[in-house]
Amino acid sequence: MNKTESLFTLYPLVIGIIVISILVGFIISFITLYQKTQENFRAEKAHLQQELLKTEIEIKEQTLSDISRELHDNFGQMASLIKINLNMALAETPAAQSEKITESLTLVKQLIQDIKSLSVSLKGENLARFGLIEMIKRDLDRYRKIGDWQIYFNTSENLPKLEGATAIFLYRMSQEILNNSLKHANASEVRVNVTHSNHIFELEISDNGIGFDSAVHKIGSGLINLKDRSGMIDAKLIIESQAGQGTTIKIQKKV
Amino acid sequence: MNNFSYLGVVMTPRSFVQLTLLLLISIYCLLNFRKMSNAARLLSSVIFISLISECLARYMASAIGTTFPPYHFLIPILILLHGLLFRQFVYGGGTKLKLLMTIAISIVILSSIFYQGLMEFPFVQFSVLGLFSIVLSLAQFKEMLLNRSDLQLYRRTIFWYSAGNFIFYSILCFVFSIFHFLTPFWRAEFDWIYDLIFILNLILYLTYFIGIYVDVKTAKNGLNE
Repeated sequence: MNKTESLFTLYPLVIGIIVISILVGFIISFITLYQKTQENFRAEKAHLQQELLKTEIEIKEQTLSDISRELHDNFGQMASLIKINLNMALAETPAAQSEKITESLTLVKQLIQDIKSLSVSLKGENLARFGLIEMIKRDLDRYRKIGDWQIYFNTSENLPKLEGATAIFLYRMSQEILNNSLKHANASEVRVNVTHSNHIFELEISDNGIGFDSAVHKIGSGLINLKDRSGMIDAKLIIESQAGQGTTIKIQKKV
Repeated sequence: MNNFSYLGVVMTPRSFVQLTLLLLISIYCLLNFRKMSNAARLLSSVIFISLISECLARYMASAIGTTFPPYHFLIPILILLHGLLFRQFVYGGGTKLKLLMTIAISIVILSSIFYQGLMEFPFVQFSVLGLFSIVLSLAQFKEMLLNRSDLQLYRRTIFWYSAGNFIFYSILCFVFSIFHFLTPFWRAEFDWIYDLIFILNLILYLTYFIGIYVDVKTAKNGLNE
């Protein structure tokens, strides 16, 4: 091989190596850029999802508030009018025939009471008035009245006063969990513990219902809701359950 | 490299490996054809056409002593298929793509008729196909960045297809240009160029296969693009 031939063999090799390096460099840069773009895309999507959830919850709160007002102003008033009419009818009815009216009066009084407590429970604004613990207590009282359940409620001392979105979210989550325990899990006993230690506020609700095996069962929409809501207030959701051994749900929020 | 005869067709070990790979990928494509997206079906067509063309080339090698004629027919079909694949991946291209395809196919056909006939190796035609594919690959890379997806890069057919084409045709164009330029000085070194093109072909078919494979897998999981 003479000098010219060697040069013509060397040049393509050098240029070839440069070309391949450029190609490899291009692909690596592209992969890096794509990963960055994808990270941004995921972050934007997560943010959008949070916003969507927030709006959904705001709409839900507004709807519940409207229903609460409707219950109080319309059904409550109607029940009060029925009560007045029954009182008037009772006054005009001989004592021997008044038994049915007295019975109806008792039922209407109970109805007014139930409408009032349901109305309070639906209206998120009442949290600011009564506080989270009082609202949970009222819900538990309502459940005790309507069903044959053993419900225990314990709170530790020096609980911080939670306000705003955190209080609303925790309250709605407690309602969802209680509803699941009493209506779907066939529980006969529910324990609600609210504690506060080391700057962690914990709401724990456990029942003796049918439970589920979290390793086998897919997470349902109710639990997904709880998970999403916990995420929105930076709270930690812990679900412990086994088939036939009840369920314990803890929500821990740093305060 | 020693040639050997198989079913009366002259085969080199390189072409045997290449044909076997193409045949295996084609079988996979046929078995999964119904599960694929339209893009993967078009990509499978590239594999089928390449297999047919390689078989014909081997047959021609034994019949008339050259493998070149089938490539003259393969190249315009590949330009058409790459254009259609671009439309599938990029959802458009419109007039510009049609114009580019028309120019590329016209040059290729005219070159086969007037410049490099059927019995010559189609350098110009391959170079046009190469440039066409590189341009489309770059546009597809841009599309991947602009049209963001939840899918990871390695699970996207468009990535494997574009990366395969980009690497293969870039190196091929480079090799062809130096090959053309250095032919008078370089006769002793020809073999490694064939080896390189053979390896590049295997890489290209493998990237196509991965692209089709991820398409079938993502379709099974309901994650298609």
